[in-house]
Amino acid sequence: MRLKLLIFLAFTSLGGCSVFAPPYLPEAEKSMASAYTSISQITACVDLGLCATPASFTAKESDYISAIAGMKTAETIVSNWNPPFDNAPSSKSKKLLLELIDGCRMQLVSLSDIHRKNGVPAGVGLTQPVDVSCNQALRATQAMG
Amino acid sequence: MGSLSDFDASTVDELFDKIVEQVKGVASKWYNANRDVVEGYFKSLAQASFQTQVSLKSGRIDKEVADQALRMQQAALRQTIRYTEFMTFVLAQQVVDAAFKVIGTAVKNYTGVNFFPELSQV
Repeated sequence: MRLKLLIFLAFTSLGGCSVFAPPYLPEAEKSMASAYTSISQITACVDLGLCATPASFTAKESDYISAIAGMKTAETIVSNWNPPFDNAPSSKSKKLLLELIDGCRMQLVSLSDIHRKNGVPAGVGLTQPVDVSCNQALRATQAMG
Repeated sequence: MGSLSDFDASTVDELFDKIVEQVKGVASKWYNANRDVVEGYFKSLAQASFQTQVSLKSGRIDKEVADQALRMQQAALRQTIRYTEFMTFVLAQQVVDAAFKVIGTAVKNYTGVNFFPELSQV
C-alpha cells in the first residue's frame, strides 16, 4: 500500500509539470506575433516590388526595428522560464525555442543588410527563407497554447 | 538515390521532387514522420532557390546577393529540422498533460482533492 502511495506521489509530482516542453507563455507569443506582423509588412513590400531600391529601406526601417525588438522581448520571456529540475528534457526544448526565435531574427537581419545595400527585388528567393524561419518561430511560441 | 552530377532543374516541381528524393535517401523515416510539417516549408524553399538561380542567370541579381539568398535558404532548412525536433518535445508534453488531465480529474472526483488545477478545471 505504501509503495502504491509512493508511485502515486512520484507520478503526481510529474503531472502538470513542464518536463518536456516549456508551458505556453502568452506574453512571448504576443511579442512574437507582433514581430511577425512587422515581418509580413516587409516581405509584402518586397513581393510587391516596392522594396527594390536601397532608398526604400527608410520606409520600412520602423518595421525592422519593431520586429527585432519584439523578438528580443519574446526571447527574454522564454529565457526567464526555468525547467522544473536540472537536466529536464524541457531545458533542451527551451534552448531549441530560443534558437528558433533567434533564427528568425538572423534571417531578418540578413534581409535588412541586403535591403539597405542593394534593395530587395521581388521574386529572387529572399523572402521565403525569412518567412519560413519566422513562421516556425511563431508556431513554436504557440505550440503549447 | 539518383545521381546529382548532371541535375539541373527547369521547374520548381523538379527541384522540389529532387530535394525530397535526396532527403528521403538519407532520412526516409524522418521525412515520413515529419512530412505534414515540413512539406510546405520545403516547397517554399525550393521555390526560393529556383527564383534565385533564374534571377542570377538573367542578371537581375549579382553573385553576391545570390550567395546570400542561398545561405538564407540553407539556414531556413536547418531551422526546419530544429523546428521538427522542438515539436517532438511539445508532443511528448501534450501526451503527459493529456494523461494527467484524466488522472487528475479521476482523483479529484473520487477524493475531492484537485492535484492539478492547471490541467483539470472540470
